[in-house]
Amino acid sequence: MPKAKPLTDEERAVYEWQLWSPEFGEAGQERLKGSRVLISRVGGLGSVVAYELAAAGVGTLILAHGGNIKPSDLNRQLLMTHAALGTSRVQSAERRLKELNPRLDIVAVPENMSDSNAAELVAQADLIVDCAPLFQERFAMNREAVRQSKPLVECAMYDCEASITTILPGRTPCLACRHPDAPPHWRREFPVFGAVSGTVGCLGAMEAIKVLGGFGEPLAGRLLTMDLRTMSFRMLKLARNPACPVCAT
Amino acid sequence: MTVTVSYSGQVRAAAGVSDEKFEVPDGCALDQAVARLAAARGAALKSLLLDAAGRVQPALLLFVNDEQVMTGEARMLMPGDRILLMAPISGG
Repeated sequence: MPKAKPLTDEERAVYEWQLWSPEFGEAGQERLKGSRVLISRVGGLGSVVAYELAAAGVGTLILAHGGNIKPSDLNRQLLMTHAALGTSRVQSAERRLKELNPRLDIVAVPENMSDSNAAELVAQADLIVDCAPLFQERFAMNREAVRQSKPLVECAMYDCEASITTILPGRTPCLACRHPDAPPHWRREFPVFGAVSGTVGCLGAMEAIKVLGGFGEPLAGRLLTMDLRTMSFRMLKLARNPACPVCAT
Repeated sequence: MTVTVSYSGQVRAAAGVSDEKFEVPDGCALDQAVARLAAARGAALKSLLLDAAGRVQPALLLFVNDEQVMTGEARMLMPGDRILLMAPISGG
Protein backbone atom coordinates (compact mmCIF):
# COMPACT_ATOMS: atom_id res chain seq x y z
CA MET A 1 0.00 0.00 0.00
CA PRO A 2 1.15 3.58 -0.62
CA LYS A 3 2.79 5.64 2.09
CA ALA A 4 0.50 8.46 3.27
CA LYS A 5 1.69 12.04 2.79
CA PRO A 6 0.33 14.90 4.92
CA LEU A 7 -1.90 17.48 3.22
CA THR A 8 -1.24 21.18 2.91
CA ASP A 9 -3.97 23.72 3.67
CA GLU A 10 -4.32 24.37 -0.06
CA GLU A 11 -4.92 20.67 -0.67
CA ARG A 12 -7.53 20.53 2.09
CA ALA A 13 -9.36 23.35 0.30
CA VAL A 14 -9.12 21.71 -3.14
CA TYR A 15 -10.29 18.28 -1.96
CA GLU A 16 -12.80 19.54 0.60
CA TRP A 17 -15.87 17.92 -0.99
CA GLN A 18 -14.35 14.44 -1.17
CA LEU A 19 -12.83 14.76 2.31
CA TRP A 20 -16.45 14.78 3.48
CA SER A 21 -16.93 11.26 2.11
CA PRO A 22 -17.47 8.76 4.96
CA GLU A 23 -14.70 6.14 5.35
CA PHE A 24 -12.36 8.25 3.20
CA GLY A 25 -11.61 11.55 4.95
CA GLU A 26 -8.17 13.07 5.40
CA ALA A 27 -6.50 9.71 5.97
CA GLY A 28 -7.75 8.47 2.58
CA GLN A 29 -6.67 11.68 0.87
CA GLU A 30 -3.19 11.37 2.39
CA ARG A 31 -2.97 7.85 0.95
CA LEU A 32 -3.96 9.14 -2.50
CA LYS A 33 -1.33 11.86 -2.25
CA GLY A 34 1.31 9.22 -1.51
CA SER A 35 0.14 6.95 -4.33
CA ARG A 36 1.78 6.22 -7.65
CA VAL A 37 -0.54 4.92 -10.38
CA LEU A 38 0.59 3.47 -13.70
CA ILE A 39 -1.84 3.95 -16.58
CA SER A 40 -1.12 1.85 -19.62
CA ARG A 41 -2.11 4.09 -22.54
CA VAL A 42 -3.90 7.38 -22.15
CA GLY A 43 -6.31 6.85 -25.03
CA GLY A 44 -10.09 6.80 -24.78
CA LEU A 45 -10.09 4.96 -21.49
CA GLY A 46 -6.80 6.07 -20.01
CA SER A 47 -7.36 9.77 -20.69
CA VAL A 48 -10.41 9.75 -18.49
CA VAL A 49 -8.82 7.54 -15.82
CA ALA A 50 -5.85 9.92 -15.65
CA TYR A 51 -8.04 13.03 -15.59
CA GLU A 52 -10.17 11.73 -12.73
CA LEU A 53 -7.17 10.53 -10.72
CA ALA A 54 -5.42 13.86 -11.26
CA ALA A 55 -8.52 15.68 -10.05
CA ALA A 56 -8.83 13.36 -7.05
CA GLY A 57 -5.30 14.13 -5.89
CA VAL A 58 -3.29 11.00 -6.66
CA GLY A 59 0.32 12.07 -6.09
CA THR A 60 2.07 10.54 -9.11
CA LEU A 61 0.79 9.29 -12.45
CA ILE A 62 3.03 7.18 -14.65
CA LEU A 63 1.66 7.41 -18.20
CA ALA A 64 2.84 4.88 -20.76
CA HIS A 65 1.72 5.52 -24.32
CA GLY A 66 3.70 5.64 -27.54
CA GLY A 67 3.02 7.54 -30.73
CA ASN A 68 1.62 10.87 -31.84
CA ILE A 69 -1.93 12.22 -31.91
CA LYS A 70 -4.03 11.29 -34.97
CA PRO A 71 -7.39 12.77 -36.04
CA SER A 72 -9.12 9.45 -35.26
CA ASP A 73 -8.01 9.76 -31.60
CA LEU A 74 -10.06 12.88 -31.00
CA ASN A 75 -13.53 11.35 -30.60
CA ARG A 76 -12.52 9.78 -27.28
CA GLN A 77 -8.96 10.62 -26.18
CA LEU A 78 -9.93 13.63 -24.11
CA LEU A 79 -6.40 14.67 -23.15
CA MET A 80 -5.54 15.16 -26.84
CA THR A 81 -6.40 18.34 -28.75
CA HIS A 82 -6.74 19.46 -32.36
CA ALA A 83 -3.92 21.94 -31.80
CA ALA A 84 -1.62 19.10 -30.76
CA LEU A 85 -2.27 16.83 -33.77
CA GLY A 86 0.95 15.14 -34.85
CA THR A 87 2.68 15.64 -31.50
CA SER A 88 3.40 13.18 -28.69
CA ARG A 89 0.37 11.75 -26.91
CA VAL A 90 1.98 11.58 -23.49
CA GLN A 91 3.25 15.15 -23.76
CA SER A 92 -0.25 16.38 -24.58
CA ALA A 93 -1.64 14.32 -21.69
CA GLU A 94 0.96 15.71 -19.30
CA ARG A 95 0.20 19.29 -20.31
CA ARG A 96 -3.57 18.89 -19.90
CA LEU A 97 -3.26 17.11 -16.56
CA LYS A 98 -0.91 19.77 -15.19
CA GLU A 99 -3.48 22.43 -16.12
CA LEU A 100 -6.00 20.58 -13.99
CA ASN A 101 -3.68 19.79 -11.08
CA PRO A 102 -0.29 21.55 -10.97
CA ARG A 103 0.64 19.60 -7.82
CA LEU A 104 0.62 16.33 -9.76
CA ASP A 105 3.89 14.53 -10.47
CA ILE A 106 3.89 12.90 -13.89
CA VAL A 107 6.27 10.34 -15.31
CA ALA A 108 5.63 10.47 -19.07
CA VAL A 109 6.82 7.32 -20.84
CA PRO A 110 6.52 7.67 -24.65
CA GLU A 111 6.19 3.93 -25.25
CA ASN A 112 3.56 1.25 -24.81
CA MET A 113 3.76 -1.53 -22.26
CA SER A 114 5.71 -4.55 -23.49
CA ASP A 115 7.61 -7.57 -22.27
CA SER A 116 10.76 -5.47 -22.18
CA ASN A 117 9.52 -2.60 -19.99
CA ALA A 118 6.63 -4.07 -17.95
CA ALA A 119 8.71 -5.14 -14.93
CA GLU A 120 10.32 -1.73 -14.57
CA LEU A 121 7.10 0.24 -15.06
CA VAL A 122 5.03 -1.90 -12.70
CA ALA A 123 7.78 -1.67 -10.06
CA GLN A 124 7.30 2.11 -9.97
CA ALA A 125 3.58 1.91 -9.16
CA ASP A 126 1.30 1.07 -6.25
CA LEU A 127 -1.55 0.24 -8.64
CA ILE A 128 -1.94 -0.23 -12.39
CA VAL A 129 -4.88 0.64 -14.61
CA ASP A 130 -5.00 -1.38 -17.83
CA CYS A 131 -6.42 0.69 -20.67
CA ALA A 132 -4.47 -0.99 -23.48
CA PRO A 133 -6.01 -2.42 -26.66
CA LEU A 134 -3.57 -5.23 -27.43
CA PHE A 135 -3.61 -8.46 -25.50
CA GLN A 136 0.18 -8.85 -25.59
CA GLU A 137 0.51 -5.55 -23.71
CA ARG A 138 -2.14 -6.64 -21.25
CA PHE A 139 -0.52 -10.02 -20.69
CA ALA A 140 2.84 -8.37 -19.89
CA MET A 141 1.12 -6.01 -17.46
CA ASN A 142 -0.89 -8.78 -15.81
CA ARG A 143 2.12 -11.05 -15.43
CA GLU A 144 4.13 -8.33 -13.68
CA ALA A 145 1.21 -7.17 -11.56
CA VAL A 146 0.76 -10.71 -10.27
CA ARG A 147 4.50 -11.28 -9.80
CA GLN A 148 4.93 -7.99 -7.92
CA SER A 149 1.58 -8.32 -6.13
CA LYS A 150 0.20 -4.99 -7.38
CA PRO A 151 -3.55 -4.36 -7.83
CA LEU A 152 -4.61 -4.13 -11.47
CA VAL A 153 -7.81 -2.46 -12.63
CA GLU A 154 -8.91 -3.88 -15.98
CA CYS A 155 -11.08 -1.71 -18.26
CA ALA A 156 -12.39 -2.77 -21.67
CA MET A 157 -14.94 -1.67 -24.25
CA TYR A 158 -16.47 -2.50 -27.61
CA ASP A 159 -19.12 -0.51 -29.44
CA CYS A 160 -21.65 0.50 -26.75
CA GLU A 161 -20.52 -2.22 -24.33
CA ALA A 162 -17.87 -2.08 -21.63
CA SER A 163 -16.57 -4.14 -18.74
CA ILE A 164 -14.40 -3.66 -15.70
CA THR A 165 -12.87 -5.80 -12.96
CA THR A 166 -10.14 -5.38 -10.35
CA ILE A 167 -7.44 -7.99 -10.01
CA LEU A 168 -6.00 -8.37 -6.52
CA PRO A 169 -3.10 -10.81 -6.89
CA GLY A 170 -3.42 -13.83 -4.62
CA ARG A 171 -7.11 -13.13 -3.98
CA THR A 172 -8.84 -12.99 -7.36
CA PRO A 173 -8.61 -14.53 -10.82
CA CYS A 174 -6.09 -12.74 -13.04
CA LEU A 175 -6.34 -11.76 -16.70
CA ALA A 176 -4.65 -14.99 -17.80
CA CYS A 177 -7.32 -17.02 -15.97
CA ARG A 178 -9.82 -15.58 -18.44
CA HIS A 179 -7.54 -15.35 -21.45
CA PRO A 180 -4.64 -17.81 -21.48
CA ASP A 181 -3.90 -16.82 -25.08
CA ALA A 182 -4.55 -13.83 -27.30
CA PRO A 183 -8.07 -14.08 -28.75
CA PRO A 184 -7.77 -14.82 -32.47
CA HIS A 185 -10.65 -12.58 -33.51
CA TRP A 186 -9.69 -9.40 -31.61
CA ARG A 187 -8.79 -6.44 -33.77
CA ARG A 188 -6.80 -3.36 -32.72
CA GLU A 189 -9.42 -0.97 -34.15
CA PHE A 190 -13.08 -1.35 -33.30
CA PRO A 191 -16.30 0.67 -33.00
CA VAL A 192 -16.66 2.84 -29.91
CA PHE A 193 -18.00 6.17 -28.72
CA GLY A 194 -16.03 8.49 -26.46
CA ALA A 195 -18.93 8.47 -24.01
CA VAL A 196 -18.50 4.70 -23.64
CA SER A 197 -14.76 4.87 -22.96
CA GLY A 198 -15.40 7.82 -20.66
CA THR A 199 -18.00 5.91 -18.67
CA VAL A 200 -15.79 2.92 -17.99
CA GLY A 201 -12.80 5.22 -17.50
CA CYS A 202 -14.60 6.98 -14.64
CA LEU A 203 -15.44 3.60 -13.14
CA GLY A 204 -11.81 2.53 -13.43
CA ALA A 205 -10.68 5.68 -11.66
CA MET A 206 -13.17 5.02 -8.88
CA GLU A 207 -11.85 1.49 -8.45
CA ALA A 208 -8.32 2.88 -8.11
CA ILE A 209 -9.45 5.51 -5.61
CA LYS A 210 -11.17 2.85 -3.48
CA VAL A 211 -8.25 0.43 -3.48
CA LEU A 212 -5.68 3.15 -2.75
CA GLY A 213 -7.92 5.00 -0.31
CA GLY A 214 -8.75 1.81 1.57
CA PHE A 215 -12.52 2.02 1.48
CA GLY A 216 -15.53 0.56 -0.35
CA GLU A 217 -15.74 -2.77 -2.16
CA PRO A 218 -13.67 -3.11 -5.32
CA LEU A 219 -14.76 -5.41 -8.14
CA ALA A 220 -12.61 -8.25 -6.80
CA GLY A 221 -13.46 -11.46 -8.64
CA ARG A 222 -16.42 -9.75 -10.25
CA LEU A 223 -16.82 -8.47 -13.79
CA LEU A 224 -19.19 -5.54 -14.17
CA THR A 225 -20.51 -5.40 -17.71
CA MET A 226 -22.65 -2.71 -19.24
CA ASP A 227 -24.52 -2.20 -22.46
CA LEU A 228 -25.02 1.52 -22.83
CA ARG A 229 -27.27 0.98 -25.83
CA THR A 230 -29.94 -0.27 -23.42
CA MET A 231 -28.39 0.98 -20.15
CA SER A 232 -28.24 -2.62 -18.91
CA PHE A 233 -25.72 -3.45 -16.20
CA ARG A 234 -24.77 -6.96 -15.10
CA MET A 235 -22.49 -8.27 -12.35
CA LEU A 236 -20.74 -11.53 -13.22
CA LYS A 237 -18.75 -13.81 -10.97
CA LEU A 238 -15.34 -14.73 -12.39
CA ALA A 239 -13.70 -18.10 -11.94
CA ARG A 240 -10.10 -18.75 -11.08
CA ASN A 241 -8.31 -21.12 -13.42
CA PRO A 242 -6.50 -23.70 -11.27
CA ALA A 243 -4.15 -24.28 -14.19
CA CYS A 244 -3.52 -20.59 -14.87
CA PRO A 245 0.01 -20.16 -16.21
CA VAL A 246 0.40 -16.85 -14.34
CA CYS A 247 -1.35 -16.97 -10.97
CA ALA A 248 -1.88 -20.65 -10.13
CA THR A 249 0.35 -21.68 -7.26
CA MET B 1 -36.10 -27.29 -22.43
CA THR B 2 -35.72 -23.58 -23.01
CA VAL B 3 -32.70 -21.52 -22.03
CA THR B 4 -31.94 -17.85 -22.62
CA VAL B 5 -28.80 -16.97 -24.53
CA SER B 6 -27.26 -13.49 -24.41
CA TYR B 7 -24.44 -12.29 -26.62
CA SER B 8 -21.79 -9.70 -25.88
CA GLY B 9 -19.07 -8.00 -27.90
CA GLN B 10 -18.24 -9.34 -31.34
CA VAL B 11 -20.52 -12.36 -30.91
CA ARG B 12 -23.46 -10.03 -30.47
CA ALA B 13 -22.74 -8.35 -33.79
CA ALA B 14 -22.44 -11.77 -35.43
CA ALA B 15 -25.63 -13.08 -33.80
CA GLY B 16 -27.59 -9.99 -34.80
CA VAL B 17 -29.50 -10.00 -31.50
CA SER B 18 -28.53 -9.28 -27.92
CA ASP B 19 -30.45 -12.25 -26.51
CA GLU B 20 -32.86 -14.99 -27.52
CA LYS B 21 -34.66 -18.07 -26.26
CA PHE B 22 -33.14 -21.32 -27.43
CA GLU B 23 -34.40 -24.90 -27.25
CA VAL B 24 -31.99 -27.62 -26.15
CA PRO B 25 -32.62 -31.27 -25.22
CA ASP B 26 -33.04 -32.18 -21.57
CA GLY B 27 -29.68 -33.04 -20.06
CA CYS B 28 -27.84 -30.85 -22.54
CA ALA B 29 -24.39 -29.66 -21.48
CA LEU B 30 -23.17 -26.10 -22.01
CA ASP B 31 -20.63 -26.99 -24.68
CA GLN B 32 -23.31 -28.97 -26.53
CA ALA B 33 -25.64 -25.98 -26.42
CA VAL B 34 -22.91 -23.75 -27.85
CA ALA B 35 -22.33 -26.27 -30.66
CA ARG B 36 -26.07 -26.35 -31.39
CA LEU B 37 -26.17 -22.55 -31.55
CA ALA B 38 -23.23 -22.55 -33.93
CA ALA B 39 -24.98 -25.07 -36.17
CA ALA B 40 -28.26 -23.17 -36.09
CA ARG B 41 -26.86 -19.71 -36.88
CA GLY B 42 -24.66 -18.26 -39.62
CA ALA B 43 -21.01 -18.92 -40.36
CA ALA B 44 -19.94 -15.60 -38.82
CA LEU B 45 -21.23 -16.62 -35.42
CA LYS B 46 -19.97 -20.18 -35.78
CA SER B 47 -16.41 -18.99 -36.33
CA LEU B 48 -16.53 -17.04 -33.07
CA LEU B 49 -18.09 -19.86 -31.05
CA LEU B 50 -16.10 -22.86 -32.24
CA ASP B 51 -12.48 -23.47 -33.14
CA ALA B 52 -11.32 -25.32 -36.25
CA ALA B 53 -11.77 -28.66 -34.48
CA GLY B 54 -15.38 -27.90 -33.62
CA ARG B 55 -14.72 -27.36 -29.91
CA VAL B 56 -15.86 -24.29 -28.01
CA GLN B 57 -13.51 -21.45 -28.91
CA PRO B 58 -11.06 -21.18 -25.96
CA ALA B 59 -11.14 -17.38 -26.11
CA LEU B 60 -14.92 -17.28 -25.61
CA LEU B 61 -16.08 -16.35 -22.11
CA LEU B 62 -18.98 -18.47 -20.87
CA PHE B 63 -21.36 -17.65 -18.05
CA VAL B 64 -24.38 -19.51 -16.71
CA ASN B 65 -26.66 -17.58 -14.40
CA ASP B 66 -23.99 -14.86 -14.11
CA GLU B 67 -21.24 -17.26 -12.97
CA GLN B 68 -18.28 -18.04 -15.21
CA VAL B 69 -17.85 -21.55 -16.52
CA MET B 70 -14.36 -22.35 -17.74
CA THR B 71 -14.06 -23.58 -21.32
CA GLY B 72 -13.86 -27.35 -21.23
CA GLU B 73 -15.60 -27.59 -17.86
CA ALA B 74 -18.56 -30.01 -17.83
CA ARG B 75 -21.66 -28.02 -16.99
CA MET B 76 -25.15 -29.48 -17.34
CA LEU B 77 -27.91 -27.01 -18.15
CA MET B 78 -31.25 -26.69 -16.40
CA PRO B 79 -34.52 -25.29 -17.75
CA GLY B 80 -34.53 -21.50 -17.57
CA ASP B 81 -30.75 -21.17 -17.32
CA ARG B 82 -29.35 -17.87 -18.55
CA ILE B 83 -26.29 -18.33 -20.75
CA LEU B 84 -24.01 -15.44 -21.63
CA LEU B 85 -21.50 -15.79 -24.47
CA MET B 86 -18.95 -13.00 -24.36
CA ALA B 87 -16.22 -12.29 -26.86
CA PRO B 88 -13.06 -10.84 -25.32
CA ILE B 89 -12.80 -7.05 -25.43
CA SER B 90 -10.03 -4.64 -24.59
CA GLY B 91 -9.18 -0.99 -24.07
CA GLY B 92 -8.07 1.67 -26.49
